[in-house]
Amino acid sequence: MGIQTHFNKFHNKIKLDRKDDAYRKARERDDSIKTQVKTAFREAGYPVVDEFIQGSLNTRTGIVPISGDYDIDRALVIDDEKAPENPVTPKKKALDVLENRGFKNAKIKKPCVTADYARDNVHIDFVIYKRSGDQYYLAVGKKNSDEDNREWSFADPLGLMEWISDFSDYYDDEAADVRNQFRRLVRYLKRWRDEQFSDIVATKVYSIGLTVMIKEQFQVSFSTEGARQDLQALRETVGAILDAGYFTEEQAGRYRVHVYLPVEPWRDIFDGSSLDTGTQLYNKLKSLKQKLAEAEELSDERKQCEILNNLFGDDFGVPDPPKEGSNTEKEKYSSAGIVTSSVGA
Amino acid sequence: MIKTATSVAGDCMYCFEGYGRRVIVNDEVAEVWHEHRQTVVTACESFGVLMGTTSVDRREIWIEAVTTPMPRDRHSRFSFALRDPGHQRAVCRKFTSSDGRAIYLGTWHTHPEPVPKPSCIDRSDWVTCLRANRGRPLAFVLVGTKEVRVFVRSRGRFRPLQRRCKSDGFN
Ligand SMILES: [Zn+2]
Repeated sequence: MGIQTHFNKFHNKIKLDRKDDAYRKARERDDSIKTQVKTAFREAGYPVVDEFIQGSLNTRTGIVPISGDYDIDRALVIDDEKAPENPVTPKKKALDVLENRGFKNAKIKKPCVTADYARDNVHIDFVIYKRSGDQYYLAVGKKNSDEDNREWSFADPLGLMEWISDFSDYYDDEAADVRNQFRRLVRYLKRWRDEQFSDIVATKVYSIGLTVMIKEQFQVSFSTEGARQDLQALRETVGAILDAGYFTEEQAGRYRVHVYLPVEPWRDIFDGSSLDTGTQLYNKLKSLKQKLAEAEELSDERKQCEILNNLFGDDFGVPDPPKEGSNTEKEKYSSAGIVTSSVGA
Repeated sequence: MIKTATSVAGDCMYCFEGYGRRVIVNDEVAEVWHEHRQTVVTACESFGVLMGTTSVDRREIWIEAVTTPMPRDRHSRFSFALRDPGHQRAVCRKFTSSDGRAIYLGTWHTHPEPVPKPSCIDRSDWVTCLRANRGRPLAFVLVGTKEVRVFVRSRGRFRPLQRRCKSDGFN
């Protein structure tokens, strides 16, 4: 069958598309709240002139979340000439709408306004831009940020998404295959992150950071007959990421990760990231590369799948063993084990 | 005993896999769980301990018997406390009669929800169970009204294993 068959099955299980059913509820929630925010903006004198969904759904690198929480990044664009001088003003307006709808946990974060529909496991970030000609500016600032901590900051949200999907370096007839392999690799690494890091650290290993590293270091791999070779592509790409200088060793064995946006404002995606996050990411990527290389060396498909299952979780299936001996030898123990006075709910 | 159990027991035996582990449940145990499902609004939580054997590498476990609530346990619809020393006695009897191969393998309890999710109390209790039985391959079972789920500790979290029917292998 070949290990690629198992990667294909894995990819089918984890990929999340805009069309997917699982996502429909999230979209419905998003549409209804968005309409209200737009009305509020229009009444305040700065109508929304454009809107789009940014992030992994747009670049087709989204995955089914293991937590069951669906994220939407909803961008709303207002016209520069009508935009209030204070970038926090429209964010407060959006917050009002959310609070009036009964979101107790809606809040203004530095780059966005967030709301959780706990009941439906939907999480929406409203990202607000103003636009002058082709130039976008992101509304940056928290609820009580003073003038020094808030700004309309240069941004290029569309440029970033275009950059992620741009494979014009390749010939037309191969670009689609190459782009799809890249998208699969991004999904594999995101699922790997969700499986291998604690919940808290996983949220700090930003998807956009992983995506930019993979795009910049992408090592495409197809056989001479044109068959996908995702295992090799992933192993080589992870190797290239480790060697690319994203990680600086600030203390012995302690790393800081820096990945710069490939478009305006060119900032470090991991700005403010801790040594702990950098070190964990570095070490786990190293171990990932090693395990992938181990899997490549094996000829037993089941054993390969077992390694990959340990890396990517149970959506990476392991085929059943050929035949099961019911006479498996049983372990002999020295004691019966201790029943604690359990409580449960 | 319910012989035609369908929704929970199904027509294939229980087998769960994942995280390098495999948990096989025998039919009698599956029937006990099926009978104790909290399908009636007034039903109390049921619970007990798991007993059975393991492979030499301790990656495979066979749940061969379970205990059920005993007189000195406490229980209501939403909680329980396993207090009766009869559970430990049952484990010790199994251990002796199996020549040291059947041991305590964890706990099970019911939840009044279709697809049961462990509560915080459950998770912290499971940690206590693991601490008291270091090195033992314990598993924890939640019996919902629709599904039975098996959890094991892997890389710092309790993770559900995937149900695998004997009849729907990969070939
Ligand atoms: Zn419980």
